[in-house]
Amino acid sequence: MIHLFTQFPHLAEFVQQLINGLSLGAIYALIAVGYTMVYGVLRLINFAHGDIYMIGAMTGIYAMTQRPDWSGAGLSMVILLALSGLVLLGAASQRWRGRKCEYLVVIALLLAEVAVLGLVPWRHGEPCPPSWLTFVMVLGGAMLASGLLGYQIEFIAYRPLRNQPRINALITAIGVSMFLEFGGQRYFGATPQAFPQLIPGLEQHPDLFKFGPLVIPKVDTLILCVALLMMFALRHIVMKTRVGMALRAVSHRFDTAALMGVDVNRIVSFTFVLGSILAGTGGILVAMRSPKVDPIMGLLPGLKAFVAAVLGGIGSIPGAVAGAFLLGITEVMVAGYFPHGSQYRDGVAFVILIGVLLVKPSGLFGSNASEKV
Amino acid sequence: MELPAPIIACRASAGVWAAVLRSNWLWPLLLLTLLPLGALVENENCVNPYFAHIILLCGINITLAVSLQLINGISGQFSLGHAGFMAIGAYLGGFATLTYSVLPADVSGDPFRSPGGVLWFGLALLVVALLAAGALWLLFILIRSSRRIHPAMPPIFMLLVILWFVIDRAIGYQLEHPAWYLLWTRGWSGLPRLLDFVIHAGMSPAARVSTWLPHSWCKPLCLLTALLIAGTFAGLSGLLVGLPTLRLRGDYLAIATLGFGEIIRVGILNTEPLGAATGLSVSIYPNAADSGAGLSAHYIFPWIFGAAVAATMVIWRLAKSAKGRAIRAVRDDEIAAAAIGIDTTHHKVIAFVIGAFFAGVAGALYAHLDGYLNTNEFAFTRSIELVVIVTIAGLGNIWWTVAVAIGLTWLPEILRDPTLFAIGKNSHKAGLFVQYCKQLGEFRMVIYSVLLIAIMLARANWPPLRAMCQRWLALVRNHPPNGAC
Repeated sequence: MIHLFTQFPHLAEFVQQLINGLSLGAIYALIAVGYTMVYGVLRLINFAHGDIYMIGAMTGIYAMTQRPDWSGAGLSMVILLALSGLVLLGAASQRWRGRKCEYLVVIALLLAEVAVLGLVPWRHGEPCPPSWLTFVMVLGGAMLASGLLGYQIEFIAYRPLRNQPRINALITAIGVSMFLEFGGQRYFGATPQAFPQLIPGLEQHPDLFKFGPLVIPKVDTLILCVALLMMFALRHIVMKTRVGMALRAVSHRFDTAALMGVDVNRIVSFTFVLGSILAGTGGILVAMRSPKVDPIMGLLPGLKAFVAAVLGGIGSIPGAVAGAFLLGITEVMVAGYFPHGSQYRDGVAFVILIGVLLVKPSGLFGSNASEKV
Repeated sequence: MELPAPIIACRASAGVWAAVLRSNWLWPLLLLTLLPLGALVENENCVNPYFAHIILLCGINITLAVSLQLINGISGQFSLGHAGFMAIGAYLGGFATLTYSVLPADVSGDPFRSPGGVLWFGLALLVVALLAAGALWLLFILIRSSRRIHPAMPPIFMLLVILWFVIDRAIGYQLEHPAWYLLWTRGWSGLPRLLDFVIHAGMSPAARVSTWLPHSWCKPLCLLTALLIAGTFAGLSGLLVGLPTLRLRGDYLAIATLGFGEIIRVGILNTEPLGAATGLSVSIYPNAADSGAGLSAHYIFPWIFGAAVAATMVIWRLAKSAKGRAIRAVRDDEIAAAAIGIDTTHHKVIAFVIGAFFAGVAGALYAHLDGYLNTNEFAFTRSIELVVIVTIAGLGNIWWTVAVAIGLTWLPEILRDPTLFAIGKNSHKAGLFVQYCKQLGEFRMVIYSVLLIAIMLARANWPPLRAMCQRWLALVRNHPPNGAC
């Protein structure tokens, strides 16, 4: 193996690019799946999805910061908030069915968020020492926080517009996206911030394997593993559980599913929570890979993940994953191999998009839906 | 049964112009009133320069929003790429006057002397662009028709073409060959050199022609030519984008136009003559003290508002005409419209091209207003701003579009400093409230986004909200609401 790669450095370079592309694609896949699920259920392009990914990364920093007067409070606060929210949500959906109750839950959540963000303010401090336990807890905290955020966004901004023309919900989606970006710039500051080390020994020994010139970094391996784990969990939820069946039913025919006794509002909320959890995970993972986090980091990856979803056929989950990996690999290859490629890197996704829309608008895995008169 | 008025006007061929004049007599008057208003805006005792700049931006935003209203509201095609057309107009217009309106023999280097040069630049670009567009069109036809050979052929063929383009570009960087040779042996890497060749071949005669013109005509003619070039090329790119993508519907079209806008931006960001990442400085007066500034507010005011009035008028009359009815029929139900014999693609493309034309004109005006162009100004958020204006105004409603465009141009400025219109705010007596208001300005974009969401939610739930307000009002007035408890 080592001999092979030292003999053919071009091959080693190609494999190196491929690995980069795979880990980039895994992050795109985590975001794209949320896009495609929401589009499948509501036919809505959720522009705020990229910002939920940003919030995931920001939660990581917030939770990891040691504050002089609140030592270690951030992480416990985030997890406490998220757990209380989950308890409230569970109670709302099981025990006290009804509209009024959900209003109360959302208002309570908003108040709790404002209280936590106000009481434990964003302040630059020393990060906690890295350990596997904090990694798991930060990942869990970010997932919970972004999931709850997704639920609130759906309830506040999209549900009142369910029966309106779709462009109106699109505008509120843009409004939510702007709110998260500019609010983030006010609260977190506009300058990029360093993401703390989560895993012990990563800086000292960044390589998992080394085959001559070919290096397999630990971070990329971890990203791929976590992403694949999440994908399999998602597949299990969507294909093997009752709520997943309801989700598929709603995305097949919205009205008919409601007639069949599916609680459509609950399923839509569930879809948002699921997609947001994946995006939050993506945020933490990408922050580990390139540890610069700023409030508008979600804009471009969000758009590219949407391109990936369209490429794979929007509404189809395996399609979104395939499209995301394809896009990640293509982007890295263009940046690596074509002259001046790194400048055109951000344009590649859109060229692919227009090409796909021209030749096969339904995407790679999408079904051809003919319009009925 | 009596036919609606515009159809009668169209049929009576002799009376067409009379009818047009009769229904539009107000507009020229309105345009004439712009000239004294321009002098007013320039006068610093009357309107301070900051206000003047916002007023001029209002005019540009009106043009942009109304032209987007034609695409989004009247023809029902959801476009998210309007900033792309604006960028094309801005960069072409700015580049044309910056580079080609200077007479070569003129020692002082004052611009706006050679309308002939600007015109020749436009013509040369048009010839080369048509050549490129023809080639692209042929490729497109080939790709589409290769489906007859095998259903998998179009994607394969397209990948090959993209690969060829990229390789071609890569080799074009390295080779030094004459333009004709490159054009013959390779595809489009020869096109910029051909363009250079054509421009240089005709530039000195064109400049000589423009020395024959009266001196006072040169500046307006230069600007007019630049605006027309900008509009034409934005319209042509609208055609280029519209013909293939307008087959798509709804969200897909939105995403395709968004992608187009981003491609334009990335393309400009990597084009050296257009300033690349540092931006294009349209320094109108290189020898003046403020060399970065654009045209004076006084001079450009009638141009900007003239363009706004022209765009509004043209689009309003178009929407009311027979063609406009066909366009609206396509919006309301495409299949039904096709069934009664309306060429749907034709009408959609017409709306798209006219909208893109005015966006290009507005972009060129923007270039001459600010004197500095950066690709960040034409990013995705710019298109979003325009879509927000159009959606809040209501799809298809031109007059509300004008009002909302003015309102939403002022809104961020008012949020930036809520005491914008307060008198005596800078005196030492200004109280704590004023101080608080000024601090609020830091949160302006947050407030803007919350307002945006609130407006959309209120629009959606307007009848129940109104009922609630009436109930409260009735409670305040202390007599029971009609019928309700």
